[in-house]
Amino acid sequence: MTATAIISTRGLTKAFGPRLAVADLNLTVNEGDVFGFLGPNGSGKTTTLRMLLGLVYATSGTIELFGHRIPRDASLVLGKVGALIEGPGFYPHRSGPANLDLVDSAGSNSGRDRKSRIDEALERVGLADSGRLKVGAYSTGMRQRLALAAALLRRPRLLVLDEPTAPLDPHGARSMRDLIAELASDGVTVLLSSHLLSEVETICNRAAIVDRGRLVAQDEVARLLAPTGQLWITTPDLDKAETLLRRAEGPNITERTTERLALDPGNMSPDAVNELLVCSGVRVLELTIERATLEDIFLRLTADGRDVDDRG
Amino acid sequence: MIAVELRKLVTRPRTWVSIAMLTALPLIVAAFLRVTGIGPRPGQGPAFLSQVLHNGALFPAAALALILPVFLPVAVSVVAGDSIAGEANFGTLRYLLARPVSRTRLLVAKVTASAAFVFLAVLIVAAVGFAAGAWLFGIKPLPSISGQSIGAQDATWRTAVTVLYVGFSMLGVGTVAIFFSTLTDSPLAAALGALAVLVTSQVLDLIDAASAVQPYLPTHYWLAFVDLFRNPVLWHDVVRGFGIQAVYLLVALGAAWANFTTKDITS
Repeated sequence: MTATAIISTRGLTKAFGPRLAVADLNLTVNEGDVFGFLGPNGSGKTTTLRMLLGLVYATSGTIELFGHRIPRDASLVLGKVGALIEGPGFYPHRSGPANLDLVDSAGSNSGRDRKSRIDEALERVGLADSGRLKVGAYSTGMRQRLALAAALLRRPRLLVLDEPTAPLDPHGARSMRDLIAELASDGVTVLLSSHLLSEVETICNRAAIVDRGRLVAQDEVARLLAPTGQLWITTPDLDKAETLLRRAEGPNITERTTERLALDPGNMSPDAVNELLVCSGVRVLELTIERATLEDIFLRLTADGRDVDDRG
Repeated sequence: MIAVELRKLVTRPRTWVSIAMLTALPLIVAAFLRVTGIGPRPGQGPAFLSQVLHNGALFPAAALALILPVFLPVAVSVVAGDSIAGEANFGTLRYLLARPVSRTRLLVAKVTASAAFVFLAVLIVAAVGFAAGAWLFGIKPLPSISGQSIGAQDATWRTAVTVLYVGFSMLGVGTVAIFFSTLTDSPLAAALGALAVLVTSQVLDLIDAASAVQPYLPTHYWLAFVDLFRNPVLWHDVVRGFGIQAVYLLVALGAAWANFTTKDITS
């Protein structure tokens, strides 16, 4: 692997008083990754993202963004980062474009192409015709899209997105996911925290799971979702199939429902199981290789649904 | 960053509404004085008001004396208290700092914008006060409080120093409010904190038991600019007033900076 690390944390720890929000976190996000950052409420996700952006200071450990130390060299690299943290933040009495203009003037960017960059960002999130409407009158979805536009203003190389689809309706969530995928294909690295495990399965190539501030898994999504070794067979001839499989060497039936059988095929390959059944006259409607879902992994690795605190 | 903050200040309706209200109070008082011709008895009531009836040239100073004890510090506390806490409250603070804008630069810009508000307010009140005074009461050579008269040119610089003095006193209030603004995410709480300091100071300034600390209270010398209209000018209290405010200003700014640059932004 020759991938360049865009984000790298080593032993990152943050204590709020006696409570450890983040404990000894080693996170690596490589260039081009769409990285899913998962964890229950209060597991330290948002605190970690805030530390990456120099908003919260680590108690110990190090953070590097693009090879530069944070918070020491924040001014050198944060210009390459677009962020959406804990929801949008805008002046409600000003319009969307006016808000973007203010936020862009606040950095040390040149104002020369500001107008065109603002138009481009608004176009990209579908707010080009929002006009002079004040942000206070925006819907939740519009505000979220405006926040993404603000993150895109400087054509960032890294996007840090904290639950970007959480406040959106299904249409909005879909177009947000499409947009993230589009940005990723343009070469933007994305770090995305989310509760929506199916979302992470769909758009992320790598993922990490944290629980109570500690990293419990970090791998490629494909590898996290490796086959469980179990097969599911759907057939109207359940009895016949069961008899055949019980007689065969190796397979071990683990579960039977009204229309499906689950089995551990043992030393038989899935295609050999299929051949055995079909050649003996069993009408196989479907044979699937079971894969763990992120939800299974998530629920297995994280403690059950207790809220340590509201902060994510 | 300073330019951005100044732009936010002048494009925000609140700025102009509050200055309009600050200007309205002396105008209402002037209208009553003009219509009834009844001034406070000499030595009583707000400073300069009894003399204003005979000479409008004193009205800028009288207007400032009217808004100084309560109205102006409240307005300054609200505006300066909003500076950091208001951004936190809107959720814009985290995005500003992640742009990135360095915390020191943001604080400097906020202090500058608050100072701009203070001087804008004081100048407009004084200017409108001058126009109203001239129109309603006429301008004559000033009789000083001590009896001898003060020429027009003389009156101009005395009024200018008054504007500077009142503005500087309000900067003290403003920086205390900015310090509170770095402590909380609620703009109201920050304004309330600054007002609590002022009210405490004004109460202590009234009771004899606190006479030992009175010369060090932030509000103690606020009205000392009255001495600028004596002949010769009594500089002692004015100079002390500038000095005390400078101390409060530096301490509050230092505390604000130390707190803001080291705190976790969780808003």
